[in-house]
Amino acid sequence: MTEIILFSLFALTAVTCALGVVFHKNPVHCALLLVAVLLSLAGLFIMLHAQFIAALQVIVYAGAIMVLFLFVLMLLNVRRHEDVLTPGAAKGFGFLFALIVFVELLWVALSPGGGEQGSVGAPAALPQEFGSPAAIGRILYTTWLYPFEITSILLLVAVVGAVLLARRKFVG
Amino acid sequence: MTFPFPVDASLSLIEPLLIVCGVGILLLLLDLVLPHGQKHLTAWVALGGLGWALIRTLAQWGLSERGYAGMVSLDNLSTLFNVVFLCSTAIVVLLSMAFLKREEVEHAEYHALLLFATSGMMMLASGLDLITLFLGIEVLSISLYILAGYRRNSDASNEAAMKYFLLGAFASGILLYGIALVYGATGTTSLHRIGEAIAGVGAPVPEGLIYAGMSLILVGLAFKVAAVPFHMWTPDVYQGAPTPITAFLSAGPKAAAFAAFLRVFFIAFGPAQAEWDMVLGVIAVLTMTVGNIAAIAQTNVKRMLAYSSIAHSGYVLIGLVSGGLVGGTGAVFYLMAYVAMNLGAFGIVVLLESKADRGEELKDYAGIGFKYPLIGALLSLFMLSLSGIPPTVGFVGKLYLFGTAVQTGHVWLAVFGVLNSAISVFYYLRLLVLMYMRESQETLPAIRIPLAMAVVLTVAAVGTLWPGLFPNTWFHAAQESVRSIFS
Repeated sequence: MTEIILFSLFALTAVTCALGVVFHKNPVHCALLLVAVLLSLAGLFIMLHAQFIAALQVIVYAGAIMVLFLFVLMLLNVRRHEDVLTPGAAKGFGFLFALIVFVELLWVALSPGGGEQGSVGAPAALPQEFGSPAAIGRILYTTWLYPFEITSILLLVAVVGAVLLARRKFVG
Repeated sequence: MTFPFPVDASLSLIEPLLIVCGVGILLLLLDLVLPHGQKHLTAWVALGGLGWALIRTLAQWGLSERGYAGMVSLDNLSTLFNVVFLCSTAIVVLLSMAFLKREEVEHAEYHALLLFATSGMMMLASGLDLITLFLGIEVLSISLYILAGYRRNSDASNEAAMKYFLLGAFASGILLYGIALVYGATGTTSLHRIGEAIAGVGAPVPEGLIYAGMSLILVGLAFKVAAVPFHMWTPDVYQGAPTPITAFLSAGPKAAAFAAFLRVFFIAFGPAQAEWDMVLGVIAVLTMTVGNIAAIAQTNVKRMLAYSSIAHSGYVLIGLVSGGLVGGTGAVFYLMAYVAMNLGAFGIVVLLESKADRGEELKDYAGIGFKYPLIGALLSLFMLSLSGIPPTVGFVGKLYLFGTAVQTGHVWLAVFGVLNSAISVFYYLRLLVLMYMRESQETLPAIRIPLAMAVVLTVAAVGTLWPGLFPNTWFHAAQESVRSIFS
């Protein structure tokens, strides 16, 4: 019972705030609502026994990355409160297709076979140290070694690109 | 010292990938020590790295191994595609030399990013897991966004990068959502285990969730190969990006996305082919038709080749829909053919254009056939091959593709394919008519073909003609590569 109450609390906050991020017109408010989304997601992670991921979510996303977001917003000094959605037909089509996808996914999630018989849901027994930094570190450097290493190439490419595109002027 | 955990990490398995990444990092360091004015030397280092990786890749032909917890596969498919990627990147490095000098943007980062993009393609072609697949796509795409915007003082280039980035990020999000749904349904991201779960080995899986995930993955991959209706970015990005990068975009990354397509849809979703082959068939027809018809209306050569590239994705999709060994072979053979003839065509475009996007309009090609007989003859060869006229590789590829469609009972696909080839003849040959039958408006300057360009055009011309006359080697290679994913 507690689980259902906690889940509803975090899930509803996440969805409501996510809608707020999309529909709010003031970018700073959007960013703050995004913090609320990320924090409720951290709550959901804890309920999935992933305490370490939850802590990282709070420190990295809700903390560091959001500070950068807000920095950029304030540096750019965005004050315009205009409607950011494209008016007219594009808006209508956008809503229509979003609605279709939403109904479709809802139907898939609720259709029989979505819950009991499949492998959806928590496995019966979790290993003792599931979700601990030690366990995550171990699989990161054994099973998931290859994806972990190629992620570093990904980050390197992103850094090189940011420097290349943002450098004021090519020297020489 | 002994390692406390068993680590399944064989370096020889990913040797070419390591060489390409290593040389990419070396280039970034070289940038620090090379004085200004000497940066063009990085191109030769990049070429050396690519050549070394190519030699090591060729030595891997015939090997079949898996490693890294079953996430990486070294088989003939990954080896063949690695050869295609390394060759096409080397050709693009050669193509870029004159371009970078003319635009005064010679920097080590350019070649480093080309190599990182190549490493992303190699990750894609060898990945047996949805996670590695996604990371490969991201390494590739992020390098491409940056390269598309490489000419920062050009508005068109900035627009291309921005559009590509926004739409690409969105497509990656959709792909990732699909991966999450499939993981939710099957509890695994391994392609083979997803395939087993769908085939009904073990506990039953929620079908609705799998098909929803499959459709989202299909959308994500269709965006990367520029299939209709996810092709909107292609013309603007191809036109705005620096021309050597446009050539790059249309060759390696497209082949890489198709390699991922092959693995995901043949291994993971293979048991559910009855569910996806109609969807993919309709996408193939739409892609061919929209690409070819829109190409007719273009006045800019790069834009025309962009729509032609969309149309060619449609032809390759016919092979995927036909399925199995024959269909896969047709798709891989056609990809190799497309990469060769298309790089040749773009080589000519790079050669004929001049600073600040001049010489990219169709009317600029008026009268060049007699003024530059060699360039005219080569461009004619590539255009004939793209439209599928014998004795070129484009003809053999199409013949085989449409043949497999008929063999596997997809006659309607073959009919649409042939009709579309007929439409495409119109705009490819229009370029020839312009070259040989119109007078030029202005006096044409004499053109000297630089050595690097001569190498590119020779390789592309040989790649277009030789397999057109003797297709057996390529055909055998394509067949062996597809056979290796079924074993």
